[in-house]
Amino acid sequence: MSLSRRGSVTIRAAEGPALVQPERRDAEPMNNDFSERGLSGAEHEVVASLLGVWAVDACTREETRLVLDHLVRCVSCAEESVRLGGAADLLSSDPGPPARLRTRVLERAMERRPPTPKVPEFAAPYAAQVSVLNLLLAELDESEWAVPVLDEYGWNVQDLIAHLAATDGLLAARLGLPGGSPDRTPPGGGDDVDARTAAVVAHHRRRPAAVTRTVWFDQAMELCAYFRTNGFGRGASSDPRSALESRSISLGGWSQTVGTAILTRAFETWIHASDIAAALGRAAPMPLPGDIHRMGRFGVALLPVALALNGGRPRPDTSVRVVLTGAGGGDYLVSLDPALQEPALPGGPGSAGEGVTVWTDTAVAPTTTLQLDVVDFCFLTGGRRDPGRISVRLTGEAELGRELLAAAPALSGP
Amino acid sequence: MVPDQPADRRTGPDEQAGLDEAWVRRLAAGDEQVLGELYDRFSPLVYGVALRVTRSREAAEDVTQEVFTFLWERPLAFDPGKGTMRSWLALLSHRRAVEVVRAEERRRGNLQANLGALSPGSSAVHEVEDQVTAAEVNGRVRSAVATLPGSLREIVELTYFKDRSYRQAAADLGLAEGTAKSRIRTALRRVADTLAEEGLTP
Repeated sequence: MSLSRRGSVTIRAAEGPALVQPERRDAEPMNNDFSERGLSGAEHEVVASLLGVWAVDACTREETRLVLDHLVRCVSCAEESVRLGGAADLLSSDPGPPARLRTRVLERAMERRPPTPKVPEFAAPYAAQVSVLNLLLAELDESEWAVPVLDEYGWNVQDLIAHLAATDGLLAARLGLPGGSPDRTPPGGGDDVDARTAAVVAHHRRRPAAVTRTVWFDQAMELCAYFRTNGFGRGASSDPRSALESRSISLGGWSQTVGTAILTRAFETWIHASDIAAALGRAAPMPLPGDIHRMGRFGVALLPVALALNGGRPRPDTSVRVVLTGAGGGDYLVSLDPALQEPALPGGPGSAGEGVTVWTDTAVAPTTTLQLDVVDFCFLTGGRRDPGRISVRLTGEAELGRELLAAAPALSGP
Repeated sequence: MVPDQPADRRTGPDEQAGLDEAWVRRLAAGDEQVLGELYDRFSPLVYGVALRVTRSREAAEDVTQEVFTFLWERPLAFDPGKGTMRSWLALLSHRRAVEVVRAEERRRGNLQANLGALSPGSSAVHEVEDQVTAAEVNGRVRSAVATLPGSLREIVELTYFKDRSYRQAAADLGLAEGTAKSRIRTALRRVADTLAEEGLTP
């Protein structure tokens, strides 16, 4: 068969070269090479010499079969074949796949892996991080689930997923979602974060890793469904947030909003996905820049609380400018005025009383300016960077700057 | 075959790595729109590779579906350190297409038989016997071939455009067969190099 390339493409079956050169039939070097097919060195050379002719479809059936047999075993020939074939493809001017294939492909893909649920913007970082972590877990083989991740707690991958299921579960319970099976809410779970985590981790040590993963993921999807159903729409007219986003709840001993709580869940899911990836020597993709932006801004808003928790003295009339660089970064002014109710977390991005605003040139001069990469800052807040070693540009009152950096991880748990 | 970029704009390796990384982030975050974008950009390549290997439109469609489904199900299987998204998709398509052909051959169970998609009378042959109107050949591809030295250009003309086998072309040009084979390979490499500079081949 062959492809004719002048103005049309016809593929027809043929029996080999139309013009037979009798004197070449059995005396060709090719036959000797065939008999040496067992030797991979010779085979490799033979195939390499055929790659060009195969790409333009100018060889026999036997030669084609020889090439294909070799290509499944030889990466360098496969790569060259793709390259030569790419050139051959361009020569062919084939019009490409039919239009109807697109719908079929996309539908099939979505059947195999449903897209991330569409949730309101304030819950989107959580939905996206759950998706990323679930993909990471899908890449693991059974033995990798037992790899230690957080030595401080003696937790491996499975324990860490159980911990996430426990802390997500606390929010789910507070929102009134059903507790589900004992796998999700084992006895002794309770309302205290640490107690609940301990109970869930212990319970799942007796369960297969696949079960732990399913429990965590299914609960996360139920949370997303809840936000999808209840989280859209406006709340009070003066507040751009939805009623759900601004609803006050108490979680883990802290008064906060639902918006803050789900953003904290997103943050924790990101940090732990990164912990797992690092422990396994794998790469996990970064969150979308918009999601990094929300989490970064939230971290800035937490600085006054973190400072207070860390034993920092009250600083009236003091503002700090925090410049977060990189995709999803921002430029913020945060007040350290101790007008915060404790233990309360700031209302979350966009809220009236969160204490952080976007920096403008007309803003009050800050006492200190910190400039660092947004991802570094997020990981610092999450307790995964050493404040003394982080790359940061500090201007103004240096001591305050260092105090803030040291305090940033104060709110992070495991 | 549609080039990735407009004619006067080339994507350098760093910029491409950034684009690839952004795609992976969106795939991982579960944004279904990005799959449509990647399909629009790369399906001609994926389909073209599969078609060339399998010689069957139906098989090429199946391979295309499998490659993009795999991309969506396992975006973290892409290792940006090993190459671009484009080259990864081309290799996936190539690998899968080769498997399909070999599976078909095993299915037919006859080492002496024609490769499945090619045997006379098989439905695949009827299907691919349909005449397909070719699109206008890209001007840059033509000029890449035209700039080849005469000895390389003439053998491409014979084997590719005039459908001669390499043995026939060797006879036509009075060359040893080994010479013919190596000239075709050299010619394709040069065309690939020229076009790679313009971002047109994997």
